[in-house]
Amino acid sequence: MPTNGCRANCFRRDLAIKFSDGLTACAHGHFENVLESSFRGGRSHGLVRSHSAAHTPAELDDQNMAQNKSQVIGRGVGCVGFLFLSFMCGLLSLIMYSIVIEPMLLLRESKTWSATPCVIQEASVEEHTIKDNNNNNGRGNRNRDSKGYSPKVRFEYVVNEQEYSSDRFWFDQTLFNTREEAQAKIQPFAVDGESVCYVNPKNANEAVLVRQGQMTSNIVIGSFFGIFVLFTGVGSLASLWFLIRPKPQASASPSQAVRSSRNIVSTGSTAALNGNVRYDHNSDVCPIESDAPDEPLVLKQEYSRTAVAIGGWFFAVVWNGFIWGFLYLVLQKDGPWLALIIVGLFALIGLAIFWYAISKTLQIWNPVTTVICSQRNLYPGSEFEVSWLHQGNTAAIKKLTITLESDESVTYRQGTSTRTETKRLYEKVIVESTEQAEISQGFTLVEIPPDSMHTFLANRNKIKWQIRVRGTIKFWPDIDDTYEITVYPPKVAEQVHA
Amino acid sequence: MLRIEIKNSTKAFQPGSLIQGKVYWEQPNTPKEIVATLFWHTEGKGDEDTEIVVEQRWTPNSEKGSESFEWEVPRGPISKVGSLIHIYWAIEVATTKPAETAKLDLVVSHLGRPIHTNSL
Repeated sequence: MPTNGCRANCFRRDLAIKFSDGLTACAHGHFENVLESSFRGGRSHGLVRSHSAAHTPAELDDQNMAQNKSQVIGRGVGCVGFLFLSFMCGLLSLIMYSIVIEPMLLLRESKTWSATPCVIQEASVEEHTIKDNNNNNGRGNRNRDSKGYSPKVRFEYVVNEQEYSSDRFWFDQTLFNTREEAQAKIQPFAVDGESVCYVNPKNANEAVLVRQGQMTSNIVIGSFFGIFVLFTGVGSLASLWFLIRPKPQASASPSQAVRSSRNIVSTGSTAALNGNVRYDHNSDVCPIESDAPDEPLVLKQEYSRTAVAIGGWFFAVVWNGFIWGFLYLVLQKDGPWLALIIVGLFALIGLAIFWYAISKTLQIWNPVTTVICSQRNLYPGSEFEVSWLHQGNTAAIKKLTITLESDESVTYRQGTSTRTETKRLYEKVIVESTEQAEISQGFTLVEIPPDSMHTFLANRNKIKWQIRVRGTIKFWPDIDDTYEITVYPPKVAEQVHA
Repeated sequence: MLRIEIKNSTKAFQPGSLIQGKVYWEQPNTPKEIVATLFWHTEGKGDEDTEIVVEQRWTPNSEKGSESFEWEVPRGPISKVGSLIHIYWAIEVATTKPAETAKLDLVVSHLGRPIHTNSL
């Protein structure tokens, strides 16, 4: 099991128990940066300094100031991030426009330009050296710079009795791998020969000899720049949101200060002081029902169908933008077979992701499901009713299956990556029907097993309950919606201390 | 020496019930402070989560003595043993100057035992 690396021979490695002199016993891994000298010197159980809960008004004030300071620093970082990302987004957008979008727009616009006689002054092939910095190790023993070739022309034409000259062969930025390929393009244009160029009627200085182009380089470069523009744009917006979001109130009570200071539990915690006893409970980790009267609850999906589809498309575009760009480069450069196979496999995965996005998009038009739970407060052993209603083309649903499920998921670090693993703890089919009337709407009685675990939502360890609705539809993506429910820890009323 | 004793030697507690006990110490010097905590923590495949739910501290005035505590056990999380996540409860007592710790494992469950969850 992953450990947090306490360096002491203590029972609990990651609990910060603060003494009045600032020492703590067995601090959590979060505090490791302050685990220092006090740890030594014969303290067999590892006394360490740490930031732990405050207990006096002065300490609370200090913590409020520290919290405010960290907010100011956070906003400063957010501001710098916003400016930097906005600048990068703007710069990349400009570059993308000038070298990718503008030529493509010009190519389209040139279809309306006037055909004008011209005389070819120069027609040759230009050689370009493409530096391969990765393979130039500075010792000069391996020079793998590659060469590209492009048509080079200069032609003169007359508009309104005024002479003009242009060296624009076409709008394409593609470099050919061989001189022969570029030569083939320039072949029809002999020096001193007459030809036809196309002149912009709004600006006679602008002319092009060939109104065609593969534009493949533009598309590939555009994809790369587009991805970076997307990332920096999203990052910029996220930074802006961080800056303008409602400011959290400064800690006004011991409980808030304690919550903010404790790395062990971060949110939703409430603390109460009772004499020299302090109670601290994090309602986010282990939800406790409110005092409000129990009543039916319309369940909501964590992510709507539209949100899932948008997420799917975002992922598909990013993944495929990269992978197909790489695939193009591998093909263009006659890369090794192994690279082609590996990138090809990733490209296939990209196609699958596209299919996923398409499927999730089509699901938006599926009949809309409404699920209602007869009571809000559920416990292990609770019996309750689940009602469902389908609106829309319910006749399309051939089979309805509703299940009650419980999953446990853990997050752990392995090397430099963070992994999440999920296992199903409980699954029971509560409805399975092919009857149209029952598919359209109905209700059923459900029981949560008495010896099952309640909802538990710690940072890295979670247990969740959900109701899953699946509707089979012919020749269309099926309905597959999940609705999370909260199962509270059992009440033991007679045992509760008043 | 540092020792925790629970009333009736009970080690399994219902959520919401009272946990009563005593902390005993006997050390060469008078400890500067004694802190007792009730906490849960996770074990298993995932990185560890933990929370101190009750904390009580005393300032002793002798090398040897005892202090009582009486805490309300929270509703949850319930003690659990499973394929990916285990949830354990314990009381830990620590002294400073001299430094010493003692720990006592507990079960918090309405069933009187940890819930066993096995993946399907």
